[in-house]
Parts: sequence; C-alpha cells; structure tokens
Amino acid sequence: MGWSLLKSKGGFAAIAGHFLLALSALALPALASAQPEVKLAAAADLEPVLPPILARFAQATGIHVAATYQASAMLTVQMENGAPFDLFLAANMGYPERLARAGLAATAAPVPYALGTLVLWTRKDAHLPHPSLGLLRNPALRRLAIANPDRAPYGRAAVTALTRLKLYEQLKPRIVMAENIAQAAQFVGSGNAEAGLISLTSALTPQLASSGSYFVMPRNLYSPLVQGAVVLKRSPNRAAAEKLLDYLLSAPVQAELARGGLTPVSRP
Amino acid sequence: MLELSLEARRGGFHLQLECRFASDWTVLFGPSGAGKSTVLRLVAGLERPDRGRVALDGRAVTDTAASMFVSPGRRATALVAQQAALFPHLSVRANVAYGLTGLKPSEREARVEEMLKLVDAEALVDRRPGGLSGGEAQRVALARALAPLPRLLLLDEPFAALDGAASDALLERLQSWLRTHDVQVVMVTHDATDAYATGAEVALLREGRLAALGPAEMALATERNRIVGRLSGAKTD
Amino acid sequence: MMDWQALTLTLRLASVTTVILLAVAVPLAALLVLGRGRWLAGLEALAALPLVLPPTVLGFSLLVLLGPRTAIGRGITALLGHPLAFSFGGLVVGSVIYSLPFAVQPLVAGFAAVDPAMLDAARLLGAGPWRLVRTILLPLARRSLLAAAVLSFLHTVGEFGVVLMLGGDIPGATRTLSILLYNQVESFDYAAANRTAAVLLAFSVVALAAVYLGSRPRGGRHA
Repeated sequence: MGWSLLKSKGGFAAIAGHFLLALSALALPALASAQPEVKLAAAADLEPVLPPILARFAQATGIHVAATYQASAMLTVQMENGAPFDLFLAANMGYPERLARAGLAATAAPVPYALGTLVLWTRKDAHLPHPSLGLLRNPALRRLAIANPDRAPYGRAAVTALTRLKLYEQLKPRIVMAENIAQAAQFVGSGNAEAGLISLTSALTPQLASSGSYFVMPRNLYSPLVQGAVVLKRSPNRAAAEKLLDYLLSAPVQAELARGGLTPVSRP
Repeated sequence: MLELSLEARRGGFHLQLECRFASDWTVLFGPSGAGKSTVLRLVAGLERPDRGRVALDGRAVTDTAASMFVSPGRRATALVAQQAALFPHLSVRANVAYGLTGLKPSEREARVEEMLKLVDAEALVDRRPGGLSGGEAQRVALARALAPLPRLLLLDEPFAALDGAASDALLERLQSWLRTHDVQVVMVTHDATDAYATGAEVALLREGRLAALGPAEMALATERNRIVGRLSGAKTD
Repeated sequence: MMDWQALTLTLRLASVTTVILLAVAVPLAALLVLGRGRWLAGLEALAALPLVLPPTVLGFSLLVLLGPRTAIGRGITALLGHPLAFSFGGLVVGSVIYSLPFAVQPLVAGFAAVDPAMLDAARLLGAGPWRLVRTILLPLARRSLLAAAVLSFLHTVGEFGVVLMLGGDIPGATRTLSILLYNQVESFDYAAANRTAAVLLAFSVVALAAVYLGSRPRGGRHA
C-alpha cells in the first residue's frame, strides 16, 4: 500500500508542480551582476583592518571586493570543496600551501603579505594587574580566551606560547576556545573572558583599545605568524584578484596594515 | 454469497472461522469479545487475516495463499458501525456523495436525494455532521454507505443510537430496498430480539469460533435456554 | 543597505525551503501514518536524523557530497555549470534536509490523530491513498500543516551552522541574516548587530502571531 501513495498520479503532479516552482525561484539569483568582482576569503584577524582598504581599492579601480572573514581552516576546507573564491588571505603559510599542493593555487607557493602578532589582552574592569607574562601565572586569572588551535593559526601560536612557558596544562581548565581569532576577541570584548590571547589587529580596534590593555607576547615563544596569500587557479577573476594582491603588497597599504597591527613583510 | 475461511490472532484472542453465509440476511450473534467486529473488518478488507480467504459471490477478495488482497474500496462492500464516522468538514450532501466519484454530477445529485429519502433524512441535506443527533448521524451514515450500491452491507450494531420504534421503521424500509437491489447483509448484534425480528439466518460466534449456524430458533436455542435458566434461577429464594 | 540583501536572501531561502519541504513532508508523513511494513520505522528514524545531527556535521557532509570530490557533485556541477555548494541552491538543499523533521513530525502527529474510523469509512467508499490525504488527512490536520509550515520557515530563518559551512558567507548570495549578525558581533559593530537581531526577532514574532492568532477557533479553544 505504501508505494501506491507515491506512485499515484495526483500526488506526483502536485510534487512536481512544487519543485518546478521552487526551481524557478532558484534560477533568479543566477542572473548575477556583470560587474568585475573579487571574492575574497580572508582570515579572521584581518576583519578589523581590511574593510577600509578594500573600499579604497574599489574606488581606485572600480573592482568591488566581496569579503568573508572566517577561520583559515574553514575557508581552506571550503575551497577544497569548490568554494568560488578568487583570492585567499590566510593567517599562516600552511593553509595556502595545502591549496597549492592540491593544485588549486595559481602560484606554486603562497606570497607572504603580512606578519601577525600575538598579544595578551585584559579588560580594564577585570581588576587584574596589567597584562604581562606574569599575569598568566596569576591564580586570579579565571578565564583565558584563545582561538581554536585546530582551526586558527593564532590559536596554535597561543598554545605553542603557553606550552613553551610550561603553563598550558595549568591553564587548560580555564581556557575558552573560540571558533576563530576574531571570536576570541569577541569573548574578551564582551566580558565573558577577562583575558585573551588575541591578534594585535583586534587589540588595536577602538572597542578593545578603550576597554583594556595589551602586552605583546615575545616572538620567541611561537613560530612566526607569516600570513600568506594565494590566488585561486580556477578563479574567473584572476586578473582582478592579482591586482588586489599587488595593491595589498604596495608600500602605502603595507604601512596602513602595520598601523592596524600587521607587520609588513619585506618583498623579495 | 459470502465464503469465509479465516484465521487471525489479536493479542490473546484467536479467531478461527470456516463457513458460508448464503442467506440474504445473516445475523452474527455472540457475547462481547467473541470476535464479531473483527470478522466484519476482515470481510471488509480493513484488516488482514493471518491466514485465510474471503470470497464474495465466488470472487476472492482476500486470499493469503495466493497473496491476493483487494483494497476495501474495490470490494463493493459497505460497513456501518456504531460510530457514524461522518466527515465533519463536509456537509451531509458531500458525505453521502463521497463514494460516488464515478457518476456524472446530475446522477450524483439524484442518487444523494434517493438515499437520503430512503433513510428519511432529506431535511438534513445541507447540514453539517457536527449539529446532528446520534440517530440522525447514523441514518446519514447508512445513506452514505449504500449510495455506491454495494453488493454486501455489513452492519456492526448500528441501531444502538436509535430508539426502538425509529429503528424498526427504518429497518423495514431498508429491508425492502436491499431486497430490490440484491444486497446481502451481515449484521452483528448481541441483542437476541434483533436476531428473531429479522427472521434471518443466525451465526453464533463464541470465543472466536462458530458455535452454530442456522435459523434463529435452532441456533439460539442454547441462548434462550440460558436466559430462561437465569430468569428462573433468579426466582428461587 | 547590506541588511536588505541579507533580509531578502533569508526570506527567499526560507520560502523556497518551506514550499519544497511541504511538498516532500506531506506524502512522507502520509506514508508513515497510512503505510504498512516494518521498514517504515526506519524511515521515520531517518526523517528525524537531522534533529540530532550537529549542523556543522550536516553542512560538512553536504559540502563534500556536493563538491568536486564525489561523482554526484561533479555531475551536478556539469549540469548547472557551477557547484551547488556556495550558491543559493546549495543552501536550499542544506535547509530542506536540516529542517525536514520540523515539517515531518507535526504532520505525522496531526495525521495520526485523525480518527481511524474516518479513514476506514473513506477507504470503503473507494478513496485511494492520495484522495485520503487530500480529502481527509489534510483538512482534518490543518493546524499541523500550519505548524509544519511555520516551524520549517522559522527554523530556516534561524539556521546558522549549515548555511555557513555550505554557503561560505558570500555577500548577497549566501550571507543570510543569522550570518550577518554573527559577523557584525565579531567586528564589534553592536549597533548594527542589534538592528539585525531586532529584525530577526520581530520577524519571527510577527509571523508566529499572525499564524497562530489566525488559526484559533472562534471563541477560544475550549468553547
């Protein structure tokens, strides 16, 4: 009796009708704009600094950039599965290298575009002493936010630093892990964690700068956060993507990135 | 003619029946729990037996050995139970017309009128089932069941809601119509007077088995003795 | 301005998903309630699976399934000219699967609550399965149909994990209101975040109120 239900004509016609209706609705967005556009996949630490730079780029060249900021790992997985991005600005070299190995990158190796900096940030109203390495040993520190080390290079750097300080095991029960480095800043910014190992770019934002203070973690505690970029091989907007990358590597923009917390890389 | 060979288990209850109902009107009699309603449902195709065969006028509608099963809607069989089960969102007219999809609209109108007249419910034609009394609903249910002109009518104590006089009058009108249209009837009851009143053949069902099949006087002889026995027994002081 | 894009995208996604879901869930629920056979229990469990599946797991599974790594994905890409993931179509597929239990379960409950005596009567009068659904089950389980539609719609509006994983947060194409909200919060744009959250909330409240007020029987439920 069961199958006759599905096979009966009336039912099938009704379902088919609904599907056709739905398919026609799907067709509408396919009429995309013919404007030149770059789809940018950007690491989460770039969120505080990139938007004005991209806006200026659009004004100067007429190329509109649609940016999405996520954890580098997530973006990599999506691109491996066909995500239609044109340019990838990661938070390390490892993830873009993975794309290059998979044959998805236009160049054999990623281009470093910035050097990230890990900082320890605390809220003013947490009534903790000024951030320093000593603070990490302070038992009054109840919650420390970091980015997920499996997904975010800044998170991995945080864990490396804590491990080298021989504090990781001790602090583990007090660590809250965020999806990505921007969310880690979110956790501290909203007061859910009193301190966090976040990116310098987040610490320099108006919100965090006014509500707390930061301490730059010594660079010898973690591997350098060399942030690399790749243009995607099958991108339909390669020329535009390369133009954007060149723009980001240009001296004035590098200076602006530096002001925002990303140390420039010396161009070969 | 209805041929039955049924075996069905429902929990602890075991039905085993092998018989033939040849009479125009058969009364299926027995105490509650004897399996009477189950027999009707199996005949109608609303349930399937574990093993068995049901044939109406020589044509098999259920046959487990041959993996054959005709759906209830294709058996030319009607069933009216104690609950009228009228469709509450449809008018009386639409209810009675529900089984008449094969007819042209004019024919459908005519048939609906005819059936409502038969059960003396013409005045109810545009009413909703929600506003009907128990007796009115039952009459409409009968009209609805008979509208497609079935070959077999199964009644499961449908007159419980009607008072004696009304049900007698209805029964008389029905019997004559059913005879004219050559419809066989199997009626379940546990009221012995119904059995006698219709002068039908009686099948006595007890604990899932056929205890007797024949004219009322014979089949219900034990029943009568039992009642008499209880009455006289009650007199002793 | 960005709010409008995300809003219309979200509305479109929820509407298309709901239409497809009802078309799928009504026959499926009818099959589960009217059908016979042990395998139906397995089917019912399968239809409930998305409830217990973490959204990112579902999103990721679909991502791989629809992507260039599988034959299915490559086939779909060849057909459409672009991958299904990271497009509106991909979101629809994800949303339909993710919200399926919210459409199926109210319908199953509503259909199962219909008096079996009525179904028996209809069957005896010749109604086949589709006629049973159309003339008996659906009219008598109207409120369940409404609940299924509203729940599917709102569940899709609020969806996040699946949409993010499968959609890639592409502005205008796959950046729904819930993702927009997430982004705004992450970039400390609390003013904008509050606006977006208010839109989401108001929208849900209005939709629920309009629907449930409209379906109350006159004089209250216990009249």
